[in-house]
Amino acid sequence: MRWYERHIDASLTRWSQGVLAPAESARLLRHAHGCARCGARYEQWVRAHRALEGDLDQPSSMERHALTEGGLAAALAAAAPAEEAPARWSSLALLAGAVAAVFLAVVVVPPATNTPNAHEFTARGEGTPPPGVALRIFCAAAGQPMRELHAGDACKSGAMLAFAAGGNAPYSHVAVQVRGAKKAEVTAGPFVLSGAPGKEGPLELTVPMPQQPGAVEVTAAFADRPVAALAALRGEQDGGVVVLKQEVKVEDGP
Amino acid sequence: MLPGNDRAVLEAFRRGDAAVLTQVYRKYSPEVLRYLSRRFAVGGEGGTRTVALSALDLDAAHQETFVRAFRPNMRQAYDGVRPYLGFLLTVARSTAIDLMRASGRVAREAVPMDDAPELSHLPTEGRSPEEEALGTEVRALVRQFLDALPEEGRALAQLRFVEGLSQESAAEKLQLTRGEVRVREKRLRTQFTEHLKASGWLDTSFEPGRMELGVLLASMALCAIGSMPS
Repeated sequence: MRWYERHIDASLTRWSQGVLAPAESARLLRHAHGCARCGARYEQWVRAHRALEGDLDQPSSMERHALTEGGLAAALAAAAPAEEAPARWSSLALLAGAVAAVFLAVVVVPPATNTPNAHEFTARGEGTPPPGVALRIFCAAAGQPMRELHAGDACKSGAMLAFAAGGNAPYSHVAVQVRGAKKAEVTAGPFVLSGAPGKEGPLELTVPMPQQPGAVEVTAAFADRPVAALAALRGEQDGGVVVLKQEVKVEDGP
Repeated sequence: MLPGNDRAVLEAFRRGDAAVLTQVYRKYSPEVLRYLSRRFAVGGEGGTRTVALSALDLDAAHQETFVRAFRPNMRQAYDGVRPYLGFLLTVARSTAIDLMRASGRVAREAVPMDDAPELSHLPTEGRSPEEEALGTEVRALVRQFLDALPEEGRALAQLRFVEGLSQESAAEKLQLTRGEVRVREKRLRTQFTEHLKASGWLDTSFEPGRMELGVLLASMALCAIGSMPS
């Protein structure tokens, strides 16, 4: 597993040779969508290769390869809910889930509490401990050591956000959404949780900070099923899902 | 593939069988890509005009088309009688228009005009002046690159890139082995990238060295976190 996403520059050269693996193609395109500068660069490469193959209006062989290989996993994931829809829980487990959901809703992520940080969570080791799940957010700026971001911390524009997450049973998956001020949005996962809180594993996801000042909101949905984690990010209610949010301020770059 | 004379395939498709969905995806993905690459006629207050998806939007539209089409309700909605490609392209068209609306390339109230009879009278061009200029520039760069190649390199580029022959067919025409064609093509593509960088077409303002250093530091920090006792 990679702990970081290689920069688009590195992948584009291999893209132009048609040797990217499906996961690499998906990662490259996901990165290009989330990063305006890299997106423009991808478009330049695409235009050049289309011209080389003689038609600016038709995708080049490199594009066809990357798009086809990169899109299959997402298409199959969209088909999954029908198979997973039937409940697998016994009535006792359902009852326990409902109790857990009420506990989580009331104690852990109360939507209407009046504390200043009610809509945020606190990183491990500070403040209220999270309920069997943990998300840690890091700011990785070129040439600087990576640092963890606590509630209210800032990260430089253009730097990368990196993530680590952990959870105790029944939480097995986490999906992450990063939303900027200007509608820019990255949704990634669901990722399998590889460790418990305190032994969080890195997520295979990095997200560039926007160039404009402001803030981004990181939302993480933890669930016992990948579908439930994604559904929670879409705002669908599902018992037993924990949703954590943290705002990261955008600091002017160097 | 679909529509199924074979009911078992249709049933497996509706159930969401991954193997069948993968076959459907691989069969229709090139058609969907080709369809999404065309210019779409849209009608709005300013009259009818044609717009095309950007390369990144093309990726998003292609993926979203299959994501929508493979959702359980859409799989059930396919009747198994009409050609599946037509069903899929209907999804692709609405996806493309939704994307262009979302990105502001067409007005929210714009409607696709592809089925309108007057469409055949529309001018087929429709590129913006900027697109035209970029197209001219990049075509000139390609011409420059091809002209500078030795004869065999030009012949390979012509067969593989322009005529779209497979490596096997190109090898046969050039009296080379497929392995030789593969190696020469890779070299050609590398030279093309270098040519684009040298000409300034590909901005090289990123400094990979710095980025690599940042990434290395990030990795080391995560390693340290991972090994800390809880």
